[in-house]
Amino acid sequence: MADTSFNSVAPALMVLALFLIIISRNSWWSGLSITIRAVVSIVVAALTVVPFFFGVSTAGLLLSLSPVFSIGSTVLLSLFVIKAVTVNSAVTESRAMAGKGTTAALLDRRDLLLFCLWNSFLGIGLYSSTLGLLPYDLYFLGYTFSWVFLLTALITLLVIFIGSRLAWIFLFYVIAWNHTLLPSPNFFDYIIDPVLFCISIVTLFMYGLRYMRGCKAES
Amino acid sequence: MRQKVLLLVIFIVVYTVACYGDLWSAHPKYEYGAPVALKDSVSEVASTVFYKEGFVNLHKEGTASHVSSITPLSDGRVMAAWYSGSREGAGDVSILTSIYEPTVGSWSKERAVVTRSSASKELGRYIKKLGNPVIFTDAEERLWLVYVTVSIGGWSGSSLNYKVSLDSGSSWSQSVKLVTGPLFNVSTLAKNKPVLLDNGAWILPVYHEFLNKFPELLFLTPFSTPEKVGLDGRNRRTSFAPGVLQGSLLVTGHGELRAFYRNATETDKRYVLTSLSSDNGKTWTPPLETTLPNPDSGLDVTWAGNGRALIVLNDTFSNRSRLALYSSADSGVTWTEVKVLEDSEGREFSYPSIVRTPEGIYHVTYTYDRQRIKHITFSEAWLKGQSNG
Repeated sequence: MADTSFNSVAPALMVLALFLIIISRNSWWSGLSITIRAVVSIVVAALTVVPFFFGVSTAGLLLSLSPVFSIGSTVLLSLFVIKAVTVNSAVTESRAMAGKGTTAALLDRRDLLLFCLWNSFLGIGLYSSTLGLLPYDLYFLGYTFSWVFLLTALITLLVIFIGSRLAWIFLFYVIAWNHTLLPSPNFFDYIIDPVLFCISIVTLFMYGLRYMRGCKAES
Repeated sequence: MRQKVLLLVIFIVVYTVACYGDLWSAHPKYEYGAPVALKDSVSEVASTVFYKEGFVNLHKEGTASHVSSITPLSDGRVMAAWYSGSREGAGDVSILTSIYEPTVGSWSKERAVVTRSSASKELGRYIKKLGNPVIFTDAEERLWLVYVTVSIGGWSGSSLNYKVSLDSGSSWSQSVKLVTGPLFNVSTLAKNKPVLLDNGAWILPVYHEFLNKFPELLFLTPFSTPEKVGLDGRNRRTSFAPGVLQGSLLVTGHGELRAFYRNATETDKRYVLTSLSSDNGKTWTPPLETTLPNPDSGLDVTWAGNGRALIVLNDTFSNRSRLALYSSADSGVTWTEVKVLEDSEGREFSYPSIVRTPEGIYHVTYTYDRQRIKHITFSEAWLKGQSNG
């Protein structure tokens, strides 16, 4: 097993994302320069790995809930944090008002929807199997090269050809697994985790709701 | 610009194909090692008739002890591990070990190997409670302790961790968490000892309890680097039938395994369930009932040489007040009672663990009234005498 300190990245990003959501409501935060915001963010992220609760850090507490956060979660959280730190709030608001995706610079709306769809389908299949609701042990296929790998390889090629930035995420899955960046020998743990699955389901639901409202307004 | 984009696309495609090609060659199909049967050898000591009873730990008022596991050490001694605390699942529960010295016939003072705070510190996680320990010795004389922890919820929220000792339990490595499932890594528990494979790996029978109860196998492969010694675990489900758990494995031939399960199905009269594998544990027959009663309680089985097997279980339909030893002369197909170890209405004798040492001596440990861990040891000669008599 390789060193798995990378596993603390996602929990640190999760705490940082929460911090940024709360603090970005204050007007003085948007007035700060990107450098200062980046420095504050790095400090906050670093504090999450400092032990404080019976020798357990905030990252450790989150890892008590789920011992592995997937590459998908790490990437999605990274995109959110980068956007929150670097993008000027005034620009974001104007984009939102114009009906454009708020993560446009890094992952556009179509990519985000595709990503959420992929995570949702995979999560439903994998977790149903894990809970014994399906008579098939899907998780076991993630330990060695199987049709699951061929499927992700094909999807990677597909997203490359449609010009989607998701290709980078799919490539990162396989690179991370090859280098054992996470403390799991199973490929599925690199692709999906329950938190990412929930985020994806909620995102799709919100999009669906917005779409239905849009249809109603048009009619 | 267009040419640059095209070049980038070609690069990503080639890189993707190369990455997956690398994966294909670096992670070939899992090779299932063949289970190794215990040797039939019988030492001089085992040729003498003896049957001894005693306790592993002392009785302490207000202390509960439960779920013991036992393994022979390379120097002829035997180690037991169990958990103890004010009650099952309490925050003060710790995992204790003790060593049996056969020449003296006594157990050493118990020693706490894992406490809730030590597990929390070593794993860097919040630990709510500790559970079942399983200990075993590998071919390189390393002693492994696999134990259950829960961070949130009840036992169905369990996950597995391990520690290794290179000096027969004098010192232990830091705890390491095993990732065995994709859904918050919960609901993998262990109760019985693993089976050694000829490729150096182990099959540890584990089980799932969240929503459905079903048996799984954890293929554990030891690895060592200059920095550490560890385990690589691969979890595989063996049955999709609900209410089947706490498997105990018996090696019945080359590549052949028979599993015996605790029966937690919704029926009035439950019997021990069994299933077979003839491909090194890769595929299993659906669990079928044996003739042995089971009141939804743990059991354990061991090889006894020359096609024989021994099982310790609560042979009743309703409670855990009776514990008995049975033997089989046909690799676990049919069973005959050897001895009733305990029979006392209203009391509990449960969660047995049985091993046969390379010398041909048997050791049984089990929970005695939830207060102590009882130990029974007998020789091959005593066993033969029971079968003949």
